Amino acid sequence: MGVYWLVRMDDKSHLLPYARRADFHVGRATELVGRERRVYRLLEILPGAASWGTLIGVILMSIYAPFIAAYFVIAFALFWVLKTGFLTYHLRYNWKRLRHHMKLDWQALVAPLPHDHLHHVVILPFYKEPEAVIRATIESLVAVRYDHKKIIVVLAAEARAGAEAQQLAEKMSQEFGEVFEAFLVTTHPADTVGEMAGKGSNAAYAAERVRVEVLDPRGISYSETIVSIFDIDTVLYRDYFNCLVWHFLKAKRPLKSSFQPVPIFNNNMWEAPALARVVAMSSTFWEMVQQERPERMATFSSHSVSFQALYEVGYWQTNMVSEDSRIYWNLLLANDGQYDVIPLSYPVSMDANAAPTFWRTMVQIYKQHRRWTYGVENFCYIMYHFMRQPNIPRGTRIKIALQQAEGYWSLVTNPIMLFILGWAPIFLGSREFHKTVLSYNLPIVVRDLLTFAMFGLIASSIISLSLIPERPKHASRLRYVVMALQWVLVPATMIIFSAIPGLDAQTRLMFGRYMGFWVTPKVRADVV
Amino acid sequence: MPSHLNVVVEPLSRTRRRLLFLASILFFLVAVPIFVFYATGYRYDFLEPNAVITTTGGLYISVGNDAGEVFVNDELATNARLFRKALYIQSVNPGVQRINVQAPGYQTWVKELPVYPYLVTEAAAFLMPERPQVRPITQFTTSTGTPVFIGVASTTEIASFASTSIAFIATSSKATTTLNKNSEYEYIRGLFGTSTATSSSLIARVVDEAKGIFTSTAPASSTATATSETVATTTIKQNETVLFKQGDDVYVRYVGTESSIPYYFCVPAEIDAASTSVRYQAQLISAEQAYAREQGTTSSSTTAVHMNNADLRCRHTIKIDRQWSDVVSFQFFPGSTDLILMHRKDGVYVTEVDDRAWQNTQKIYPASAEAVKVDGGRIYVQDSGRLFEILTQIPTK
Repeated sequence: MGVYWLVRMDDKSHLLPYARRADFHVGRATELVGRERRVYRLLEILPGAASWGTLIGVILMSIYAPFIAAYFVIAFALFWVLKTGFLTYHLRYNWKRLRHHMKLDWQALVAPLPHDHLHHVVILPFYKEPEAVIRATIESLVAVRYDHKKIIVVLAAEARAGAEAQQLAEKMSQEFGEVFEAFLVTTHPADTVGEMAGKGSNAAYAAERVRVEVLDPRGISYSETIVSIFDIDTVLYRDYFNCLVWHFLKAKRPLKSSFQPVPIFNNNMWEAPALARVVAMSSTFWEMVQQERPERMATFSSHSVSFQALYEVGYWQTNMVSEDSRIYWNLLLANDGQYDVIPLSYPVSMDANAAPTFWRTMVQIYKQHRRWTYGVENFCYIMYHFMRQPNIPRGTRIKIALQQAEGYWSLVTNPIMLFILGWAPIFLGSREFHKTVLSYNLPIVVRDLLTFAMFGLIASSIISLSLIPERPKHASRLRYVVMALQWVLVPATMIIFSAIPGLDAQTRLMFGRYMGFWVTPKVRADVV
Repeated sequence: MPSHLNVVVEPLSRTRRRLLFLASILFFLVAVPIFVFYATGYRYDFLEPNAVITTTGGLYISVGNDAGEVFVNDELATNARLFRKALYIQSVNPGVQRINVQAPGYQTWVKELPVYPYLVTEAAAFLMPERPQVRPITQFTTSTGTPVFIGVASTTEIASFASTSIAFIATSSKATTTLNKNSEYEYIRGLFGTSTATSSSLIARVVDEAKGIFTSTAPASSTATATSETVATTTIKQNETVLFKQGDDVYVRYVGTESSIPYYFCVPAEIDAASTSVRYQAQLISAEQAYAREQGTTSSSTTAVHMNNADLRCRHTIKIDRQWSDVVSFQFFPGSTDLILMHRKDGVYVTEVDDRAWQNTQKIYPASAEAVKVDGGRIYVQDSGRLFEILTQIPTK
């Protein structure tokens, strides 16, 4: 099987023209040579240099130009208030839309639309996750309101996970195989040359296997097949496929679109510690905000896309960490910019990052977020190819580049500047500065502005309470109070689990210390 | 199913988002200058019909007492914010402002301070009890620790001018068999130079004064006390501040780096504060000369007032106001280089170094004090052979 896999990788005839480039799936500078390598390396240095430059710049400015630094800090605090208001508006709107969509009878909406020709491939890559996690995901697939004989499940195991993982996959296949149109177990070979061990390589391998072993033999059209790739802890809501199909059929260009649900990390919300809940829900909120501005969206975590589109770009990249968002950039570039992400505003439930002990939970969250923020590698990829893809309008390329640059820069610098360096002029400024009214008023003005920005946290608190699962009997009602108040932790979580891992990831990329794929351990209360 | 449940809601429209974005930018552009001007000290009174934009300064008053209230020109500062353990009063009009800090049971601290536009004037108030607060330290105590004055007629009033929250017993009996010896008494007595006879303390003080020697015990935080035996008797150094006596006067001199000089040594250079500068200059010449003589160096009086940077004009020596009374001994107030503890002929006083206006002086013990010692952050006094600790806070009951 490994041999076939390598053969397929060399055959590029099915790929879109731009995807046939040798550097289309570039993962890092070291995979290139000559000028391209130098350019890519420079792009890898750029985000870290910009972030460090900003942070050091604020410190130097506080020492040598404290008055300008103070003006900057005030302006920045105001910017933060407005940004909070702006994002909260989006969040609230999506919250209403999400709740409305959860109430809709999607089956009834889809019924009048011809959709029997559509098939679904559900790829579930896993590593060493316990049976309870996998079973819960497959059982949620069984519970969906959709014709199960149109669903092909691919349980994608890793050879490096050992025989136990494969036995578990086979067990699931035997147990649930009859429910679906097909139930395929794949085993991604270990140590394939040019691949990084991770979700991307496993998923790409599984996609090719399902094409060869199921789609082609059964004559199922690629353009009538929708692939949903789910993290192994993804629990589906009952109408996910109806919602997906409705959007697919209503899309302007369904084969040139990815479909993004809202990942709500609430499966284990009642077991996870407060810090983990805040971090998890913050990630959900960010995706909810993005759902209201689709032109800024890239795919994230669990999502769906036509098999045809995937096939035309060679599936997910196998040589990098952030394959879930990279596939969107692959598709955008290969389709000359004519590619969309369609927000479903319909949830899928996933696990908040929680380990058996508090400390391990903190370490896990940090590592997970470092992996997520390592998505900055996509910035290098985008910039590199935007210099080489003339078919995308220049204005679009500049706009996307600026949006992405601002996103990665603000992710790392904003929390640190706001909550730590905002006070730098007071501590580092000259004696002349310390004598001024400005020096005394600076912390007061900034503190008042940040307090005002807290209304965003109040909104977050209210929305989060509406998204948590039903309270289990063993949990006290007081936990609701804790869950409402836990949002005061946000300034800390923004720094510890957003800015610092982001800076860590950018620094690693800057120095060419490339990251590998770190699998987030999934545990549930009943298996801890 | 209700009809509205068959309608899929579209994402926010681009037009709506763009409008929100543009409104945010507009608000930002308008708000930033307003906030910056406000933070810098500009004010505009919207309630005044003919209001104009004014420039203001601020006051930063370290109160030194939890119950202390600050009054600016006799008006309670209600808009003050607690800021680094002191009160920050903003929107103060430029000009000389009269500051009162008072608390029930304490003496009032009053100072007239200049307030300059865009700048904050700092001051550290201190409040000593109106009625001296003492803790008796006796040679013997009861088994429960109550101090006992022995051989004293019960009608004798002990420290009647003062208030003590510590109960004590005065007895005419000299029997000590049922009493415990107080080790603290022995230690404190040792500080005053005698361990037994109470009458010898007076003799010792007379001898000391005759020699012109001040036998202070420097607190633990002192970094140095002397450079020679003679100087050691009149010069005390704590951190970067030197306290010394020349003639009948006591001076404080800052000997640290320019960047760390305490605020009261300086005035803003660009401000026309003629009266302040003239007063500084006049006082400084004699102070500089005094210090130079003491150190055996040339007087630096010609450079007494100088620029240490573009914005501040600083001197280094300040004379402590002794109010024409003779100084018996002096010392830094425990834990501070801003306050001086002076044992004068007319009592024990705390005087602030800050002389931008009159130096506040507050009495903490009457003229009956024979000798004063500072040890371990506490002030002890010997009065009529009896020992007391002077308390600078009214004990909570």
